[in-house]
Amino acid sequence: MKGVVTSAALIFAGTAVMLAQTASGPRTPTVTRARAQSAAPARAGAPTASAAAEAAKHRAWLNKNCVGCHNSKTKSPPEAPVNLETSLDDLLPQADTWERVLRKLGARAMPPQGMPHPSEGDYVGFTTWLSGSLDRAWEGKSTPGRYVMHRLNRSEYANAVRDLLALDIDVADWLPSDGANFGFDNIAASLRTSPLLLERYVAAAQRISAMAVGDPEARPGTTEYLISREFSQSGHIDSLPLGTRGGTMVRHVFPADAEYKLSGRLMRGVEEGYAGVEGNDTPHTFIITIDGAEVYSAQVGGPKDHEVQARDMNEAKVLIDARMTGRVAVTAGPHDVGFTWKERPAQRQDVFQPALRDSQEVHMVGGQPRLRAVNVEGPYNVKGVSSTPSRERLFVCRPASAAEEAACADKILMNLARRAYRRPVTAADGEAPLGFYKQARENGGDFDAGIRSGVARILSSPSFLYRIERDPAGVRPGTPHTISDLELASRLSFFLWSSIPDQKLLDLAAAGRLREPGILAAQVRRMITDERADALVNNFTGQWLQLRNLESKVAPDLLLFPDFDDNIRKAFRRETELFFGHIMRENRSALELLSADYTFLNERLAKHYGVPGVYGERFRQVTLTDPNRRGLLGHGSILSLTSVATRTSPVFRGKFVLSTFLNTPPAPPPPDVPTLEESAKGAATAPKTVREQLELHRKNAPCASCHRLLDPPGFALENFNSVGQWRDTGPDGAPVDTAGVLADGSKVDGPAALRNAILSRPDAFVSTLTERMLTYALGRGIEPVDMPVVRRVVRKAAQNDYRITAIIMGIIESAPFQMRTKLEPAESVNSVARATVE
Amino acid sequence: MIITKKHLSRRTFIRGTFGAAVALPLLESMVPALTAQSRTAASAPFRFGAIYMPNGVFPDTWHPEAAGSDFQFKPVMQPLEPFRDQLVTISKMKAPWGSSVHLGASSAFLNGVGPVATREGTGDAFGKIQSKKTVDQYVADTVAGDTPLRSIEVGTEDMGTAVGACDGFPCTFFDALAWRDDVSPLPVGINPRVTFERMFGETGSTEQRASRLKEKQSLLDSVTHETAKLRKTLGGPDRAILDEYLSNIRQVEQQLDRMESRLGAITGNAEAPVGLPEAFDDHMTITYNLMHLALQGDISRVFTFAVGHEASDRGYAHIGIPETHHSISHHGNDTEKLAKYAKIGTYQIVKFSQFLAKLKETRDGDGTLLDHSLLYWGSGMSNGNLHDRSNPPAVLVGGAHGRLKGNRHVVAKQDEPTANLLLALAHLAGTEIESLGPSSGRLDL
Repeated sequence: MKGVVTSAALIFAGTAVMLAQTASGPRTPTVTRARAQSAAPARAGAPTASAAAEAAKHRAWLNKNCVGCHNSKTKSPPEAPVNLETSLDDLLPQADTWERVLRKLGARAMPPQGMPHPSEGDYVGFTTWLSGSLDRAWEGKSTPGRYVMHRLNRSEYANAVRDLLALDIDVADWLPSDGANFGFDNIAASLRTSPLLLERYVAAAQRISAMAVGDPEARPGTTEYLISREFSQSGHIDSLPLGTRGGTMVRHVFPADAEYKLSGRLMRGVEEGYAGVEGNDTPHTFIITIDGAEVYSAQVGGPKDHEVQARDMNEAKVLIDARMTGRVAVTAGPHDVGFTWKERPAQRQDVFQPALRDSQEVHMVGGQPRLRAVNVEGPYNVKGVSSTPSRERLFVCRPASAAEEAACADKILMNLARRAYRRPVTAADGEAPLGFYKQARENGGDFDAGIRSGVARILSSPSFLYRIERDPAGVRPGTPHTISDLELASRLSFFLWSSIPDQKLLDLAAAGRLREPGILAAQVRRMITDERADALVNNFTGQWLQLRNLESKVAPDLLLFPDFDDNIRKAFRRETELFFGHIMRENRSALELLSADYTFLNERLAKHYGVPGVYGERFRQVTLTDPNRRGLLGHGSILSLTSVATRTSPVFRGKFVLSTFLNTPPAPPPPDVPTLEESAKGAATAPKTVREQLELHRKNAPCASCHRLLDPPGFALENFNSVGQWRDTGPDGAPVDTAGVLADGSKVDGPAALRNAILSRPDAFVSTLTERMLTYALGRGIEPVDMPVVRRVVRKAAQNDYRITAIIMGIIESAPFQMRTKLEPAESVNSVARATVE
Repeated sequence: MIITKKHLSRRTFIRGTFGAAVALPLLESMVPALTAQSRTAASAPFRFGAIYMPNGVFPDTWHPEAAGSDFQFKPVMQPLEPFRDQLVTISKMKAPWGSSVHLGASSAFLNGVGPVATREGTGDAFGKIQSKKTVDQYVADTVAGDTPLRSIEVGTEDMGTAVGACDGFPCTFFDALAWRDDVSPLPVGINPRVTFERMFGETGSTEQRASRLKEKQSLLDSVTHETAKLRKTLGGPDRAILDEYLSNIRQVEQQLDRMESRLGAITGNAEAPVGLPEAFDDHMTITYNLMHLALQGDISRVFTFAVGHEASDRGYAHIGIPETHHSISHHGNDTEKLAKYAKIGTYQIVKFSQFLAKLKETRDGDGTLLDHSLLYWGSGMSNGNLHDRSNPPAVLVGGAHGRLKGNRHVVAKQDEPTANLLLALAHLAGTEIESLGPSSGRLDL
């Protein structure tokens, strides 16, 4: 592949320039020489007299400000002692520690409050020198990091199936969850296998292939889609036809052209034990739609139903269940099936509605019927399998005669394998899938059955399930090299789309053109604007901001928060995802994540926040007038994730801000940490208030070192209750006290002040975002050796107003993303997981 | 039938097993066929199960006051009274720290070790996945025989929806109680439907099931060949990954082979009951029922069940506790919170006792399933408020083939390592290992 050689040269040049720019003087380090240079430990440029004086100055600075606690004798902090007496001449043996020092000083979190703080100029002087020295020390020794084969995680697998076969599957039902590390579930060294997983892979391959081809042999079964009890259905539901109320829309993949029983089941109150119908005194029209067209309707409720129910609730249940079931002919493939009610708004106005959540009441005779579940049962009277998006994608030819079958099967399966394996395929790649095709035919299956079996084989292949990168022949272990265009295409698509490359990207890579001038940047722009980049938004924010935990962890006490429902929970997530997606796609500054005077709301969420003038289910950009609501710190998602069921948690919120935005997470509590109550034991006078208790608690050094940092950012957000609504008074009726002093000594008194304090040193926030995104992009933990790259990306982004696309492009152009190191044969996966400083 | 669902929730029901009922009538009707090969008393196998309780149990509500026989149950353990004759509870042991407050408690539960890597000096960037083989796997070595599943690992939740909560370790340490060897964690499966399919295979007609099983076997066989070829072309660590992959494929192949020999024994339409149940109580019941079925049908003789992952943030609203389990375990000695903490423990013990009752009702050879089982219910900490490793709850129930004398409260030597109990469990199962993790000897049961 001659293209690879040319492009490799190009990128080497690029990398060299990039690394050279991190240094102050003209140097010519190239990554290819890493081995040779580290063998001869000559640091770039011998220390000159002025450099020595410089080092002595910084030594003195450290001794004055840090070494009093962080020395070889006092073990401080106790859980991971830091000794800063070590030499400044050679930083690399302690690179880990120095990076930690940079983070702490970057947030001005050291020296601790109560100790004299250096001047701002002193801080900047020292951190600039230290980061520059680290960058220079790594120069010529940097490696692009160590990669191991990357198994597709659950969402990558589902997206790959979607892009290969035009099939949306809910893979969580079929595959176990992936092991995560470093905060993400796409970390190569953590994506291990187990018998459970491998058995599921084969089972999934069988089912997906059957869904894609269609299954005229499918046996009738029922799929039930449950609607959360906490989901309010009093209004119009997004994606259902206008003029309807409540219900749900499901995209169901129908296995064959056949009849199906589509049905809705009513919410019956008292945890389903109540068999009656809500709102049964007046008639309601239940309708079922397929792809927007009404295919069934039935009347539920009214005097007759009411009479039956008054006589015998169970009899009414049977009667109404039957009436809410329609038998409908549906063609194979995915269809949007809607189950809803025709709205009668005029008759709604006399209904007493004590809260926005409509699932409070035990049962509401005068209320409205709601759906608890919808079902698709079938197929019955199968007619065959007509055209579906999956079949159109898969069957790139149709054999006109038996003689053409073999050639057509070959074409279909080779075409699929190329996309699935993300590279040109050879005859050898085709042997196994074609073997399965032939076997199925010999067992009496028709052409489709043969193709199905071949597809199952492709989906079971390690070439599909793993992202495999190869070292060129002749490269010595430990030597970095540029990855091929095809490998780069996969790195790009899995970073930006959590999926396989599309035809366009694959073709460019196969032609060796991906690194031609302008092409890579244009492809990245194209990919970011593509809707598949929603995967980056959802997976990255889902984990960086922990939005994935909303479903499992946010469960406010329903009596304390009567307006909170599942609609709000879903809206929280949607708001933050739309917000991040907007900033990414509109090429806005990353700082807007915290400062934007706009957000994305629909009527329900706007009402929740108290923002006027927003009507309808659709989310749209809304300008915020309240400065406290700006940016992520005003998002209900984050505010509710950092609360407990009955109240806010300043400690959780503080921890979230320190970890997620400033990369200075507090250490976990050490063994046998005393509780507040225990700290109070032995005190001369018993503490009366929580504040007094906390003060005693903080007299215990290990507790103080964290809580002094943790509590103030949390207190600053106390104006937001545990579901993200503004409040001026706390649960006890007293005004909310938001005052506190941050680690850097700045006084804050509310969300806006906290935000401004964080933004006063944007590099700390942007570095954190960059480091998290680099981890996600590379699928491995970040090591000290990577930090010069992070700093370089941040510096470059800073010149560009910290635009997110500048960060994304910086990551993509960086050596770790463009290169890999051939590993020593003896290295284990575990040693790669914890790549040590050489 | 292909079961699909999207968008809304994770629950897919099959006709006939609808609504609030969570019993598994279809499954139970299958069992006589499964156990048709009548067992003689002598051949009734030994069964072992370990059940993990996250966030600890407050010791004052758990450990009996008096040692020896005829002790008085404390409130949380009280629902186990009907099984007193086959019950031994142990106090005064010390569970290992295991590197981290919560993660260490569960990950060291069955091997006394937890993560081999420590945080010390490594910053946040370490990802070593290494522990020690766990006691259930030692037991499986001895007792698994030709059962389709050498062991089953189940739970009700995993870290898939607990982002950023893995204490800086790979989340695998939270998800896995069992380790097949030092580098092979066996994470829990939380979807009862998946567990069901692992136990019984795919759903469908007998012919469809047989043909799917055959195709699965061919797929695995073919993939093995491809992987072996691929392996030769790759470097060291990648080979190690494929080695693990291949060894897991072999496990599945063996599992399917053993299942094939029993396929004929399952008659009728075995249709899987549920996906992920919406109600936690249902999830608990179904999972215990599946474990009962696995033991009864001799599909597996060893299981581990994490009723929640350590530091579980699950709310127990169905018993009047909307707060999360973890926050309740940090009770701060508040009376109301302590009462709730005890209530969660009691709820779990009630679920356990219902499972035990089923084992006791089930004939097995010359006795009951419970007579031939050894169940270990416990936690990696006692007082969750302090993450206290002293005096953790540990209760054994079951006749263990007559090897365990019941009705006893055993007081261990002060701070005797829980690893000593694990060693004793292995010996009860007939697994003669000399030590396990940090064990200093065998706990005197």
